[in-house]
Amino acid sequence: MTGTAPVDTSRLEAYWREQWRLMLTLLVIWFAVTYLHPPFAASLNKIKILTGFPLGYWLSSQFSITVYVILIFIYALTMNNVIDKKYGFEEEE
Amino acid sequence: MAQEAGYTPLTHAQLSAFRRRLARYYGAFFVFLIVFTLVLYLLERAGLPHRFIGYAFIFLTLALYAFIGILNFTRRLEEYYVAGRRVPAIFNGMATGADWMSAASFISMAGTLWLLGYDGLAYIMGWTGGYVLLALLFAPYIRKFGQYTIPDFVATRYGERARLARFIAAICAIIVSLAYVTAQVSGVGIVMSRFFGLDYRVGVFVGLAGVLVCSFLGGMKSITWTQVAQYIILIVAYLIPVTFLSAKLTGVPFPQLMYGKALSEITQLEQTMNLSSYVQPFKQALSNASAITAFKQIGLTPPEPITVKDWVGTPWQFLALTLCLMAGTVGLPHILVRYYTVPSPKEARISVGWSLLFIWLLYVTAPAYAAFSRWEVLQNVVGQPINALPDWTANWIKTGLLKITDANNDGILQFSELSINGDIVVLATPEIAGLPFTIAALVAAGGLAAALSTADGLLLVISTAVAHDVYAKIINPNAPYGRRFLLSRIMILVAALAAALLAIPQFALIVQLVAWAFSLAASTFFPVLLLGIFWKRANANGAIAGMIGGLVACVVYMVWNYVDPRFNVLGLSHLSAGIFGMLANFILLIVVSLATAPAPKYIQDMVDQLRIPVGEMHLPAPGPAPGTAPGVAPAGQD
Repeated sequence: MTGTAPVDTSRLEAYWREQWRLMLTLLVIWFAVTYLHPPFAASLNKIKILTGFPLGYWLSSQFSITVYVILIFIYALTMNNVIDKKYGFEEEE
Repeated sequence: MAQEAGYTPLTHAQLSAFRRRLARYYGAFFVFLIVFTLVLYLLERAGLPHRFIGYAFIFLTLALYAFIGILNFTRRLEEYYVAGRRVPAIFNGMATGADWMSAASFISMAGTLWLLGYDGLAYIMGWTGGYVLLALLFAPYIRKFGQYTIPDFVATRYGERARLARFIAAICAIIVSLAYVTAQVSGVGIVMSRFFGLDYRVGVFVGLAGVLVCSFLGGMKSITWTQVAQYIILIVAYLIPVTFLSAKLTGVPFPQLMYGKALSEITQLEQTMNLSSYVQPFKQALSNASAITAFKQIGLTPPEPITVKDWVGTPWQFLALTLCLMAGTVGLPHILVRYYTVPSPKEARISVGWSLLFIWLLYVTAPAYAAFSRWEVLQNVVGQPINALPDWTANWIKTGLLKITDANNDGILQFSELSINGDIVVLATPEIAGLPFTIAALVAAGGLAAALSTADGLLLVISTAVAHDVYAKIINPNAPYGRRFLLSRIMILVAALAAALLAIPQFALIVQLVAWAFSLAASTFFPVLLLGIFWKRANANGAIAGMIGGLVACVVYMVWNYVDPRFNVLGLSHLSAGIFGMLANFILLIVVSLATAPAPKYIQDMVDQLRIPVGEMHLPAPGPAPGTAPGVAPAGQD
């Protein structure tokens, strides 16, 4: 099994760099949807969307938290099905 | 490593068969719950007294938890501590959801939003966004590490000073969890007394019995399978009343979408009544009102009342609180250990996604509860003649949760003459929506499930920290299995009793402790775990300095600001004290690590292994001087 063999350093480093890239991209989105809109909530609230939500309130109560769920699934599926496969880190049957 | 003789992981085929069997069991349970509710509803219409309906729900659910608990009796350490590491991602997601959502989420979250408006959304974002950090930064690595507890991780990663690191981590885990479990136990008492008219103290002990039947016999294994059932009950109970209320008020049974209408109605009503806007952000002033209540209760001279309004209108407190709650989420031991229980790091990644999806379902609904009931109150309660209020108000005035005084004696109720306890928002919704009592009893069963499931997870963390981390790893490494089990079970009893005794006086301080638990977790575990995984240069000296310094910085700001809010930075309240703890922890961890020798090679190699998402960990024996790191057991001993 891969875990028991001595670690192939260059392969692990390339794998780690690629996971960093994905992780940082997703963390930037996480940061943006968490911290960029609340400071402007008062102005955003003047805009009404959907069934009458003030935009600032809606971003915090629905948009951000829905993006969180999506981010995690993007991370998990990309890591498990694309990046792990590319570097040969797959479960043995 | 870390496997008992004869305990082998399941193969893929066995795991899928197991998953299918679980789906059948819990699917059948879901159908049974709906049928049971319908039958009771018919019996209610046939004249069954409300009291019996309430008891039927309590006894059915407690009996179910006991049944699952007994079914999962175990003598295996691997099952007792980490449910055999065979919990499929989606079921671990439900268990995490139940573990996570406490009485506070179930009952008080909507009430908090009712009272705070936009500012309350910091809790919605903070208590969900942390899962992104958990998925990306922690869960797969914790699972790969594959031991039993979070102090295990700290002691192994910082193996140069394993004993001390483990001891400090175990103490932090116990403080955070004990504060939290006490609030759960008092949550059980409140649910019992409000719904079933039981005495609060009797409620606490009935609740404790419920907790013990789940966790005592089968440890993590029975807790996990109970929590899945508890998630189903709590989410059904949470969604039904507000869905009916939405249908009643707007004609559309999708509360999460339709409460936009409620918000715009609220805004118009506020304007005609000259009230401050519900959706307007950053209205909270700093005050020491809660400190005054707490001081009085424990018999100390309370501080002078102080209110600081300098920072109203600035977003700092909102942003800082959000960050603290997120980092705290990731540092809570009872949540982290759930990711030891899945079969692999890959499953751990997906499992966090399921966890948050199941949590999202409740958190996206909580603001709807708040908005609909605020609409109802502004439209049908405020501005009405006091002798002609809607029927539902009468019951809650009796309980004292709703207080009405006609201050200006005009016979009309003004907004300022109304005082509402936030808990009423969820509790009264079935009545506001005109639903039968059966639904109210279902909501009570849901609140009970939420409180019990969280209490279970926390009690196990406390008992494990003592029996495994302190006793078996530090005091007596050669302790036989039997004695570890016995001590574990005794500790569950002791912790449960301690929590009950702390909960009985209903100290205001307890509620405060829960809010603080997040800051404490963020100040102690978050930086140490994060850098432990992502920065090989981090060493034991840095981690120990970081944990102690973080704890001290957090507690100092917390207590000082709690008593005297004039002491603040950027208007941050004691709830956000974790910001300073985290900062201190990160700085100390980095500076002290760089100033002292790097972690030994065997530990750096271990970090490399952590990053490989397949296979089991092989923890090497400590390098040059065997025996210098007693926390790292040689392979096979466990």
